[in-house]
Amino acid sequence: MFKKKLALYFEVYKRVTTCVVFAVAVYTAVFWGVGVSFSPWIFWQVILIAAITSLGSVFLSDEGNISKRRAWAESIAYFAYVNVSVMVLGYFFGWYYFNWPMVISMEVIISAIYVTVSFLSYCSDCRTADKLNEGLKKYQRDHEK
Amino acid sequence: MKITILPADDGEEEIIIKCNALTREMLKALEQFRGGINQLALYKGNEIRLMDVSEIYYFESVDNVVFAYCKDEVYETKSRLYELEEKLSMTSFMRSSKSMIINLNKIESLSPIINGRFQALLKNKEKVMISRQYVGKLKEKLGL
Repeated sequence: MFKKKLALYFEVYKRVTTCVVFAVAVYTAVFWGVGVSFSPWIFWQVILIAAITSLGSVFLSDEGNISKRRAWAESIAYFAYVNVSVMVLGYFFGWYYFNWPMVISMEVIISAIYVTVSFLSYCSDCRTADKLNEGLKKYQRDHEK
Repeated sequence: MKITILPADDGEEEIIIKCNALTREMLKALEQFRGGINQLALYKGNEIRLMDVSEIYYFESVDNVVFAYCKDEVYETKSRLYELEEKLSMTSFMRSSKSMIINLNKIESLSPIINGRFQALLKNKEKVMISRQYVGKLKEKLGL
């Protein structure tokens, strides 16, 4: 159980880190300009934010028989958790100041990363489902003889 | 309970049970004599039915009571879910979530849904969920 949760965590963590690096590259180019210099801590900040935001995926229910409403509620709660984590940590790391363009951009980026990671996970699950369906057909052919 | 063992004069061995009601222990013993896994005793009200396991789509535990879902009907079983999982481990049944055991031969297709879980569309058009936790076991069972 723990191993499976850990595997899921690292699967999400890989995707989140990739997206956060990409988002930081775009965000800094737009808001901080070409000539800006960064502290080496930026990499640790990215690693920390990706680690904290990925943690939420571990707490999503894995039970089979939860309702669609609860599944959606969990997704919304996870999104809120990601939002709060990034906004609070981002503020302390000095990634943005309280002005509307920056706050809105942060929100757009957080949403874009959340949607991208969810989409990538869904695509991966679709590939798994295809394999399972193929395996299932073969299994049923072999076992219904 | 009186146990009488008689020689099989005509060569064919036979077990006859004379009882007022079939108890859980008797049904268990019967299942063992039958080879364990082809049929299960299912209950609906006062009716007891010996059902081929191949006719069962899935088992679900609700409030500590295990139900067997067939094409159109639902029966109660006296077994616990973990007992059924053990008994049916060599058949096409497998655990699909904490509270469910599903018959792989009754699944029409699988598709992903929100939060990394999978949905199984059964041959009677019913939809049930499969936890991510059991996808690995499903792959194993399917030889993937």
